[in-house]
Amino acid sequence: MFRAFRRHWKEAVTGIRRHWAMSISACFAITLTLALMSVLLLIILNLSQITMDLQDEVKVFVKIDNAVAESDISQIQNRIYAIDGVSEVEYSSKDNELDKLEQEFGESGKMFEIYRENNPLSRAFIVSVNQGYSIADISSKVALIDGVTEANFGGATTERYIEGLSKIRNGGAIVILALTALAIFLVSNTIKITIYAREEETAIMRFVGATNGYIRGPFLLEGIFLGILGSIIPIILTIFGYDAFYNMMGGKLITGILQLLPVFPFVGYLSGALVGMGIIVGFVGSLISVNRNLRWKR
Amino acid sequence: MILELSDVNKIYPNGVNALHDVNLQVDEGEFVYIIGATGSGKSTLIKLIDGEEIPTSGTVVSVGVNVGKLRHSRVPLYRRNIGVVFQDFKLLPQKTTFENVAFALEVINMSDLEIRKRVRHVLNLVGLEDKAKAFPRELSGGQQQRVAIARAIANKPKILIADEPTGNLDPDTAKGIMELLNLISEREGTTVLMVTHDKNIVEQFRHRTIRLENGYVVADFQKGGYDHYVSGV
Repeated sequence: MFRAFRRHWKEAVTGIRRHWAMSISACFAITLTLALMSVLLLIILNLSQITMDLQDEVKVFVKIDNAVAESDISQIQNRIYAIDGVSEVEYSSKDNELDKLEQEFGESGKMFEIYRENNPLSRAFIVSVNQGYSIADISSKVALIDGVTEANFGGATTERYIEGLSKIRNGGAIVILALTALAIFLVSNTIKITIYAREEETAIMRFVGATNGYIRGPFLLEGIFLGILGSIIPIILTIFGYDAFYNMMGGKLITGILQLLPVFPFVGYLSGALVGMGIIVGFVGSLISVNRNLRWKR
Repeated sequence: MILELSDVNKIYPNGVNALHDVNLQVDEGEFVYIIGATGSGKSTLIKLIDGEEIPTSGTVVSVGVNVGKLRHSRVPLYRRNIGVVFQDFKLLPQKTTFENVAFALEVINMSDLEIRKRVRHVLNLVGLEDKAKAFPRELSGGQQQRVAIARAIANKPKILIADEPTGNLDPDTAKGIMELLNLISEREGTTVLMVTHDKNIVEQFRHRTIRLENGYVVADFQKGGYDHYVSGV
């Protein structure tokens, strides 16, 4: 196993050295693709984070009348559940509401502790809504239920915001897929040229009894190697570029409420993903070429 | 019996009918010439035996393997039983003599130590032990063919197929190659199938001779010789 790997590695390096111009151009193609991919991933992952943050606001906050008996709470909960589009109804006691209030104010939140005994806050339900349902409609329906004093939600703008973000995300994912396909195509073309250049060699290999797997080996290694090589520059750009961007923005997006993902360990994961993409692209690209060019000869 | 063709027909996708009802049996250790004009079906016959082509009908059974029925992935394993020598040598120009022969053993995953032993042995057999470090361009045509033969027999194949091995060589050099092939046949007990249209060689080194014409086996003569089989004679 290791013996074959050593021999394949030797052939792969020879292959790259013999077609260095072509190899460099394939590397460059992978570099460009991965760099673009990195930018898109940065945008998409940050948007996902922001979306998640915003998602919390797409909840209906329902205040319960203090006159409602503790035993009737679950009845109200069931009625809210019965509304079309409601996915979750979470109950929050007076104590819990006070805890949340204290948390929001951080250090100085302790000052609310004096209200612990005689809590003026209302008991509440936090209602989550399935995607595709109008939060405004559901909110107004909840408000009609007996024992509910108030039903609030983050507002229709938030809702539209999230929809917009998810469109950007989906668009980005499609662009990434297209870029991947393009990079695979470029790698497979490079490997095809290596294969042509070594056609005689592989023909002889077949005559002396080399298995298909053995013949494929060096080409696949070459593709993987090109993929790794091509991912180096994008990784460096990602690490330093995102760090610089993060510092420039002060870790926030325009509005200031929207947090960017912290540089570490985020760029680490992203670098891993880029190397992985490089390897996959190189492997698949050369596999396509090798399979196509080995098959027609017995 | 090491090779048996039964009712073999080969029609290429372009409609050319290269072989008609070929029946052929070769015993282990035999030396057999296959002669015939260009387009008589010699190359097709070789390709059916080494697994490059699949018979349209009939069976080719070689070293106990039904060659036409082999899956693509199994062909290489079958080929380890066969050595092939070509008219144009097909050596790798950027590899030395030693490396060219070793290459054939590397791909079947032999250990480095075994490879060195085996390569030295076959280079000795073909008389090129002193050319191990030479590149093909530094060798004469005859020497290059000897390297090719060394590569073909390195893996101790049961059958050696030689496709016009003397076609590119002058008569004296060709004679040397023939002596080598005879030596291999005798000393290693390898079955040799040699395609040729060199009249002199077939006359000089007498072996069983099979003559093809337009895809038919028109003669199969145990004692050999060329002139007896010219059509119409």
